[in-house]
Amino acid sequence: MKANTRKIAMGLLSLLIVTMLAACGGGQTTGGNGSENSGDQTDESNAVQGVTDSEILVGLVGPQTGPAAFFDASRKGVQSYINYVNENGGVNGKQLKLIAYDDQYQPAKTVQLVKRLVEEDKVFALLSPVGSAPNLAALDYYKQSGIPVIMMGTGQGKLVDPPVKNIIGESVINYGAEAKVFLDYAVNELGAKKIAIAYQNDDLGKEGLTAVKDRLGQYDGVEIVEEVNYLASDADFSSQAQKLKNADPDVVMNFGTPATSANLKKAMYKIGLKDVPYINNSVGANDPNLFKLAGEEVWNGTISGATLPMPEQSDDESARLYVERFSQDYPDDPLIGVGQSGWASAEVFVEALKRTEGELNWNNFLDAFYTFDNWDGSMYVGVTFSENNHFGLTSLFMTEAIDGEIVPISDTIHFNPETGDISY
Amino acid sequence: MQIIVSGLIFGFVYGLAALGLVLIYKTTDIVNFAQGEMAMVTTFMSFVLLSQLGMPYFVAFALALLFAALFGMIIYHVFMKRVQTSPPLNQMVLTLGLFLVINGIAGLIWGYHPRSYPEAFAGDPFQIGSVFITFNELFMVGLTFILMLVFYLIFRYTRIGLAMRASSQDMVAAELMGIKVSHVFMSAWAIGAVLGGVAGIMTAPFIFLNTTMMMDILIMAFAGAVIGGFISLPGAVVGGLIVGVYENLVSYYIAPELKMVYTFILIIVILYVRPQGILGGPKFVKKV
Repeated sequence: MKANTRKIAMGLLSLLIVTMLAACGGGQTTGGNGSENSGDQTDESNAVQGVTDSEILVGLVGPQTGPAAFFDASRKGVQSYINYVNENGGVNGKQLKLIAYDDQYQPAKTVQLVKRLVEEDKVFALLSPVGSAPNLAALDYYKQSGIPVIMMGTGQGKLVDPPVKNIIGESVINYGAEAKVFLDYAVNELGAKKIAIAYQNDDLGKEGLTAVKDRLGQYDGVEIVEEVNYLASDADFSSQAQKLKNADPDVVMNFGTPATSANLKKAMYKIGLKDVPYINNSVGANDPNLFKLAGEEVWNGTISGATLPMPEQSDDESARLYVERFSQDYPDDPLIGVGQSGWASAEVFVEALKRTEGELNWNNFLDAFYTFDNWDGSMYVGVTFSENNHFGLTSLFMTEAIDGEIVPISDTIHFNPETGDISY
Repeated sequence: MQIIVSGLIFGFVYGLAALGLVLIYKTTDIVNFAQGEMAMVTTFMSFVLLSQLGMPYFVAFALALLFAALFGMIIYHVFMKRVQTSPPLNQMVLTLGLFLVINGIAGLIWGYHPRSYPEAFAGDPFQIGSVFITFNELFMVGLTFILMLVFYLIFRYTRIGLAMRASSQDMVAAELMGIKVSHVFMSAWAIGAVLGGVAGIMTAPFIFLNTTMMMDILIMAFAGAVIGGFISLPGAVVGGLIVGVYENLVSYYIAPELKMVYTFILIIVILYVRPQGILGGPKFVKKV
């Protein structure tokens, strides 16, 4: 009897282990694929792989399962645009093929999977790999291998500044650039002098905080009256809200993710901090789901910025196409948010393929990006690259949350990362 | 003051989650790592009943708890009963496995987007002195208090409670005395799952419905349970309250990113001074 029980227990445990391994998905790579060989590729600026007469292989790594799996909508956006392009004859007669692996947002896995894409699958380029930490983990390998990495799914500044030849563009506006524009807007348009800042205590939030502090000296008499932080996993924001209220600010700026942003504003609202303008970074604000998370009354009035139009309100041609195709390919996924940036990133990628002059190799392909000068042919309001500007997204417009919709409240604002100028 | 009151309210959530943990541990000698995930599933079930089938809040609430009880029984029958006689460590590893499996399956079914979850009582907060509080929070506090009291009394003064205590002390002796140990254990799992479910449903409006919603709550509930002694039901709630207030004070006066660190320092200090926890009885030594 006991032996029987034990057998069942062992059976169950092995079943568990198998399930767990299966859940890890692409996490397993065949060992021993020496990265030493990849050194060769660095010198070959005219390197080319993953391109045949009929096909271009494109790689993507991002979470498809696990706690960060909602970012998977970005991959779906990419896939949806690729489907569209392929159905319409591909790029210069070549079909695009996307190979995507699940890293569960674990940087250690990201590095393995990126290597697998580059060395085993031999993709031509990486498109929109997701996340700050995963991309930072793979950064050294990106540099070493020379693989073109296009429109990473993050707004992290360290990846594109200082610029590295083969690492180009981010699908989200740089957190620092955005924070600087928001500060300028708060001071010049809202007349704020006393600024209180809340930030998520990670790279995302800290980059916003640092950017505001860096730029603060340019404005006379403007000061930071309070700084509070929180963790991405926090549920209780009462102490932060209390501190913000005590500081009696003219404006509250917050740099966080959607759930924390909603919770912070709820906590502020609860203790009566309702009438002070609240500016939230776009990552944490540009999603109508926030009206549900925070409550419509609470979320109303939130000011933010956007590089992409709200798809269903826009008459932008690519937005219209996106709504049609994405909702057909992935009817269960929300239209707004990362799906959009995935789609728009793929548009930028395909445009660069089209603009590539001569043979399609890494060098020619990367050079093509420097021809983008406020290009508005994608869903983004403007995409600009130069040798010193690998940010890509430096144009945005301000938005306000009004009655369940996120509405534009300004024309396009341009930020020049080389000079720091902001022009309205 | 607001900091303390808000801390107390979160403390009650931790207390609720800790109650379920302690109840299962007290009866079956197993620390149930899957407690949070079981609570998450119950909360999702109540959400399905609420939003997709459009049931009134309290009907959905009751049905979800019924589901929780069944779910607890199923987990016991299918998984835990079969390893009942194995060393406790093996059983705990199984609950750890259940944690991963339930989390993965829930992700496949319900996806990974956070959703909003309604409160039991909507409405603006009202102000007492300098403190803002909502009806929903009062409801939560009251509910936790009642649940704690009810289960404490059951455990202490009823035949079922006696059976539970006996089974936990010595499974074989209890069986020989005519107690159906498996029934007792099954009810402990059912009740534990219901308590977890209540905690989940109470928490969801604050932290939004998500497959990962209970992870941090459960860590804090563990902390609360340990502080309270891990075998005392009032201890679980008191421990939860201490953790809730303490983490909020640390967050306000020291730094939010250090609250987890300071919470565990507090545990170390308390266990150093009083190894059996605050309400853990005179002496509690157990070899695993």
